[in-house]
Amino acid sequence: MLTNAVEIEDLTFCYQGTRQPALRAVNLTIPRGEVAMLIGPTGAGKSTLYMCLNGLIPHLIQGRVSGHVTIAGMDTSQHSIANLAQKVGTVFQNPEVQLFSLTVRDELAFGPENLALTKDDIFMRIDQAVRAIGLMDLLEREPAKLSGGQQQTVAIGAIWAMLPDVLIMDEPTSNLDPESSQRVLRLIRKLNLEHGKTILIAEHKIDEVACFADHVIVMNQGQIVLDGTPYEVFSQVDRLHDCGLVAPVATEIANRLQANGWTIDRLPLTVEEGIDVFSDLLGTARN
Amino acid sequence: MCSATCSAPPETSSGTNFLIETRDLWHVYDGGVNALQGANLQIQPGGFVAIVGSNGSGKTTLIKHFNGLLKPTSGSVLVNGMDTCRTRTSQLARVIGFVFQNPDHQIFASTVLEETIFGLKQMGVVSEEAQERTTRALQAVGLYEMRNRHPRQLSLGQRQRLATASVLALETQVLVLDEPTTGQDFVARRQIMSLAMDLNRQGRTILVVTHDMTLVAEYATRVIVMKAGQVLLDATPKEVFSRDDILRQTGLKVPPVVELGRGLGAIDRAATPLTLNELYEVIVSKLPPGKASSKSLRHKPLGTRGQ
Repeated sequence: MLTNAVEIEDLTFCYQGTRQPALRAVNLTIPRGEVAMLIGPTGAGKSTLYMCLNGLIPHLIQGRVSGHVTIAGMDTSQHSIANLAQKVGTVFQNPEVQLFSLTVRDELAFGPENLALTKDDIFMRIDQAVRAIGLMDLLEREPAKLSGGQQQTVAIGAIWAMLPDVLIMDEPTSNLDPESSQRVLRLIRKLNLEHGKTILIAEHKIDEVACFADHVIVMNQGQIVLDGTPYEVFSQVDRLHDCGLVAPVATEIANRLQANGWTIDRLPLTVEEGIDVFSDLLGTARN
Repeated sequence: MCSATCSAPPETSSGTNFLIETRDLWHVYDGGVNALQGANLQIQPGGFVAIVGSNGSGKTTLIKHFNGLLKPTSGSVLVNGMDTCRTRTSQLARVIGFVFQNPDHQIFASTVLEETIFGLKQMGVVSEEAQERTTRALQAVGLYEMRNRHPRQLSLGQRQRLATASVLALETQVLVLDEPTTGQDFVARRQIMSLAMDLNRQGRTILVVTHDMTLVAEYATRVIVMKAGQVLLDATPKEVFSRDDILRQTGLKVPPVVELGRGLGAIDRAATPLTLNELYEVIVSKLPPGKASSKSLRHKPLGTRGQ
C-alpha cells in the first residue's frame, strides 16, 4: 500500500519562451487520504503545479522541466496523460467550460467511454458516480440549464466516474452562493471520508476553508513558502501578508491585538475560536 | 426587439427621479422558466448597490434588463426615465456599462489595447480622446504595461480586469459588475473594489452582483436581496445582516466579521461592526487599559478527519 498520493521532488519548470521559472525547486508530499488546500496569489504557480500533477506537463505543454513527480506511485514522465487521467481528476473552476453534453447521464458517461470500457462497466461507473455524488434527480437534465451549484456537482460527478485516486479542484466554490458552497465543501469531505480519496483544493475564500483542510500549502512566485497544518500556516500572519494573502478574520484581529501588547497564547482560526479567545480577553460572557 | 406583451404606456423622464426603476418586471425564458416574477425596485443615483441572492434567484436576468440585453416579458424597466422597450440598446449602453461575470464572453480583440478602445470607437469617440480614456482605464486596472499583449496570454484574473477596463473607458453613469471578485486573489480583489469605490466617489452609480458577503459589508451602501425572481428586501447592509429570517430564506450568510462581532457579548447587536478594522477598534475600546489577560485556548480544528 502506497502511503503518499503525491510526491514532488525538486520540481522546476520553465514555460517555453520564458526565462523565469513558473515553478522553482518545489518539494511536496501529500499523504493518501488527505484533504490539502493550496493557496497563493494569482501567478503563484498553482495552475502550473496542477498541470504537472495530471501530466499535461511534460507531455503536452512545452518547456524545460527538472525533478520528479510521482502520483499514486506512477512517475508522470513515464506514463501517458490517458493513463494518468485514471489516477488524477481535475475539476475546473468554472463548470461551464467542462460540461458539454445534452444530459447529465451523457456527461457522466463521457470519461468512461473514452477509457474504452464495456457498456456494463460504463453503466456501473455512472451508477457509482450518481450514488456517491447524489445526482439521481438530475440524470436526464441538460447541464447547461442547471444552477451553478448543480453544475459544479455534475462536474465533480463526471470526474468521479473516472475513479481517480487524486482529485484536484480549482476553486470549486467560486461561482456559488454561500449555501451551495457549504454543500459542495460537505460533499468533498464526504468523498474524502467515505472513499478515501486524496483531494487538493485551491481556494481564495480563506475564512470558509481555514479549518476544512488537513494540510495547507502556500505558494508564492513559483515556490512553496508555507506547508503545514491549518494552525501552523495561518498563525504566520506576517508571512501571509508578505505573499499578498490574508489570514482568517479571527486570526487577523488576534494577531493585531498581540502586536499591540495583548497576550493571546494561541491564535484563533475560526469564528468560534475567535469568540472564545476575545470573550476571555474582554472578560465577558459569550453571546 | 420588444415582445408583444411589453406595452407599458409611454413614459416621460419627468415622471421619475430614479436612475433605474423596474415595475412589476417579469421575464420568462424560452422553455418557460420564470426567471423574474414581478420584481419591483428603485435605484437612486450615486449609490453603491449590491444585488445578492442564491444561484438562480434572478440576479443576472435582472441586471441584463438595465442595458436592454433582455426586454421584459411584462412590466417595465426605466433607465433615466427611458423605457428600455422603447430605447435602443446603443443608447442604454451610454448610461449603463456592463462587465460580465465571465470575461471570455466579452473579450475578442487581439490586443489588450484594441479590446479596451473598441467600445469607444463604436460610440464615435475621436481618436485622441479615445487614446486618453483607454490609457486611464488600463492604468486604473493595472494592465497598461500589458497593453500590447494578446488577451489569451493573460490570466483569468487579468482578463477580468481587462473586461472591466473596456467598460470603464466608456465612462458611463452606471457601472454594473457581475461577480467582479470571483476567482480573484486578495490583492486583485482589493484593487477592483477600490477602483469601484473611487468611481463611486466621483459620482457614478455602482451595481454589483455578488455572493461575497464580506464585499457587501465593506463596500455597499444598499443591498437588494433577490429570491425566486422577486425583490425580497432593499435595505442597508446592517439591516440585511440583522434579518435572520431573510438570510435563512435566501441561503445567505453574514460575513465572518459580523458573525464574530455578534458572538461577543460585549458588543451591542445593533452596533455590530461590518469591517475587520471596525471590529478591531470596538474590541480594543472595550479592553481594560494596560491589562493584558491570557487564557489558553484548546485548539480543535473543525475539519479534521474522524479517526
